[in-house]
Amino acid sequence: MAKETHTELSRDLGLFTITMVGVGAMIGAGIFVLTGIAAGTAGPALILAFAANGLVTFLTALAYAELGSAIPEAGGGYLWVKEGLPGPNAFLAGWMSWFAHAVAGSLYALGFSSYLGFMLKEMGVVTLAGIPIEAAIFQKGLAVVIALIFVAINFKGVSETGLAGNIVTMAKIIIIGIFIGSGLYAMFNEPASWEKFTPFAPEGFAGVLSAMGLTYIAFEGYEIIVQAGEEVKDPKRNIPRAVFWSLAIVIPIYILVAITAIGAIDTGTSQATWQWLGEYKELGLAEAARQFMPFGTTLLLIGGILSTMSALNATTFSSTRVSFAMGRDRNLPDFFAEINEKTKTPYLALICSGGLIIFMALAVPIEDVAAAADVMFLLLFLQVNMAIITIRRKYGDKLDYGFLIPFFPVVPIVAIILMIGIAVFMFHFSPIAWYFVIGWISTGFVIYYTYARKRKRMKSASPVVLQQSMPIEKERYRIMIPVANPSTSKRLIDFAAMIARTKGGELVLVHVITVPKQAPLRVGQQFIKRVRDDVLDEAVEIAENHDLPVSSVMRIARKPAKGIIDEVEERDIDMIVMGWKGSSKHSEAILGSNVDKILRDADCDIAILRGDNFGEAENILLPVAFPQSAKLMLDIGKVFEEEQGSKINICHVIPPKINNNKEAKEERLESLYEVINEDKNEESEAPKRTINVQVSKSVVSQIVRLSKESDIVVLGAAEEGWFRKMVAGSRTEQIARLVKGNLILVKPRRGSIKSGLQDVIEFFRSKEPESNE
Amino acid sequence: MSIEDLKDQGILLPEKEWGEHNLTTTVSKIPIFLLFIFSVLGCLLIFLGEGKFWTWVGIILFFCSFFGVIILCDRAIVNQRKRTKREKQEIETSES
Repeated sequence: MAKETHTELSRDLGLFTITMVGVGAMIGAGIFVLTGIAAGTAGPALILAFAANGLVTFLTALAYAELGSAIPEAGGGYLWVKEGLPGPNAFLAGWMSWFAHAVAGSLYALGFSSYLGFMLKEMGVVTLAGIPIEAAIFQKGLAVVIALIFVAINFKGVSETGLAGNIVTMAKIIIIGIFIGSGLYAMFNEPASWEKFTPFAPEGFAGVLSAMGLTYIAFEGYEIIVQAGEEVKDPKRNIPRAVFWSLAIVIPIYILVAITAIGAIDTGTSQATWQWLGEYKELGLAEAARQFMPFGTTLLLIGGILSTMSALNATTFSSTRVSFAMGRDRNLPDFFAEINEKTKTPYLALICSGGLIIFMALAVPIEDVAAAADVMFLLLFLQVNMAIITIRRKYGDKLDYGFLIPFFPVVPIVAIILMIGIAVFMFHFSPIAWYFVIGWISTGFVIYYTYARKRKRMKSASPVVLQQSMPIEKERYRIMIPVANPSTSKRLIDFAAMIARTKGGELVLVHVITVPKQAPLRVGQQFIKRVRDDVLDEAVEIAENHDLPVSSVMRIARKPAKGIIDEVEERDIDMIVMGWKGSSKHSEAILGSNVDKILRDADCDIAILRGDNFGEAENILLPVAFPQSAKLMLDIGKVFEEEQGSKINICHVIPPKINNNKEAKEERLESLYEVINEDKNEESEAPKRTINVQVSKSVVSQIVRLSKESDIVVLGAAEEGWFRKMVAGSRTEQIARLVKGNLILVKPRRGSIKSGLQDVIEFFRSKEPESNE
Repeated sequence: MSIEDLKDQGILLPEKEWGEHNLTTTVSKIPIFLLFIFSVLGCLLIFLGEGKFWTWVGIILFFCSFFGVIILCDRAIVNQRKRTKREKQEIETSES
């Protein structure tokens, strides 16, 4: 595989500029649109909501500072979750990020239409195109129009960057600065202003929590800082510093805005100021400015319009970029990654994102739109906090950190708990938002398991370089035999053929050409002919003698296990029959690193053969322990019974302690009997199978003793977790090593849920970095 | 993403430095812990002050302690870079 040229953006953003990028992102539409709504929810305790949100967001900012300094790539949170969490997490991170940014876009579109409508009203315009400005249809319609305009702008590839972006940011900061300054001036000139803060939390702590959840989106600007990571000078130093300094600037500003909005206005009635702000919702701040700020309403409206427009532009761009990236990563259909030839923009991803923005703006009220975006961002940041723990564990010693979180991993765990708390509490504020979130995430799971996972596997699968006479009958029981050495392949093929005959199955012979990491994978192609002549053709000839459908495949991979597992997934293999020499070269490996990996990751029945003679077996010993593996063990035993007339000895060794406990003993045996006589019903003529119960203090030595009277021992495992645990240090390993004769180790297929869970547990347990190869 | 992708993008340390760098934080633990607790106390005072005197004390306490937390983090970033530089030099020296 040729190494791709890595392109890097020029690094020209210094500490001040990148801090301003973060500040600009935070002091934006969130504060303009949400202050009124949040004041109506929390009362004067909005101050507390902003302060507490500052602390909660600081905990996640620590994670962003650490990861942004160590992995300063454009992907930001999505990239880290992709790196640090297993299974569907990467897909869900992108999926949720797409929704979160699109819904934030809906919020800003609605905010823009409110501000523009208010401005038109101030100018004396009552109707526009026959529609009253105050009508809901006007607000929704204008939101759709502005969303379409920004879809068109993004389609043209025009974005607000450089000088224009900086001017907009500075204008917003100046307007907010004048708002705070004139508000504080008004408060200090009116002593009664300070009494407006009682009662402080009229809606109790619940109101504070709701306001926290609602305004959380206004704190997520540091995501933009890390997304610009590739353009930052000395990123290991400047990214974490910008994350912290932007919070140090923004949080006091938010608190001061809350103080002045509540303290400086006079409602003229007995109505409390927070209620007054709540009634005006997204326009609360503009109405407040009218009272104490020179040209207050006009300036605030300009600020609000500029903020919502730039935020809508940014969210349209970022939601498009996320869905485009997901299309390119094969998580979404390929059309998401299609680029328009003329404008060079991902136009279909843009249309889908625009559709999502418009749908949410039309379908849901503004506060529920905000709540939905907040919950999504909370869940996304929650994943980042989880990812930081695994990234430190798997890659920590290989990364160059610019900042390391103190009290690790307590801090990310606390952040996770707090964010779960706020997100769950948002249900209290907006059940509709949660319904949308649940619906979106559920749809994401369905897409992942039915579509994205398969495509992703195909993308990272080891290449197939040769494929001969592959049958297309899916109904057949498909047995795969990895063949490496002609001298040992025969016993494996003969054994697999016995099973295939009894099950009406077919054989798939696989050879994996391994190429070390030092060389590109394509080097393996020069061995194709030699391997076919020396190994595969001979194996195919042996297999064809059994009069069964046979096919052969050759793959190139770094490790044999990778090629074998890819083949299992691609061809829906039912069983692998493979050989085992009986020892491992690596001390950390149990049966050998390849066998271990196949046992862990291949989702099918597995039979591992050790020994030379599986052709003439008179006595087969099946020391059953758990029902899960007993079924497969018996299936193997029955094959010998039918094909060679062998006698099966099903035994179960129990320690004296359990033997003396009648209830425990019966319970154990009952579950085993249920499995081994599964095919025997009342009318069945064949006698039921019996279990030879052996009582011994040492299960291992008793089985080893019994094995001496048998030609083949079939040893099984219940499930992988148990199997690995058991193999790693106890019985199966000991038995496998002490039994001198022919041995078959079997592991049944895991269920898909169990398989997924096992993968997740294994991911978190392992300190090994993830590898494509 | 995988270890290969990170390597290709030049994000990982050179292999000779793997496992050679200290992974403990350079943030002063006790001061940041105390300041964070003060920030939380500030929030509590804001709430318990019921919009009166103690609320304003809480806000000031929050501002000061939160700013202190930021200063400590900022200093830790500078120290972290210095430490990494020193460790790299040590690795170079031990190699030569």
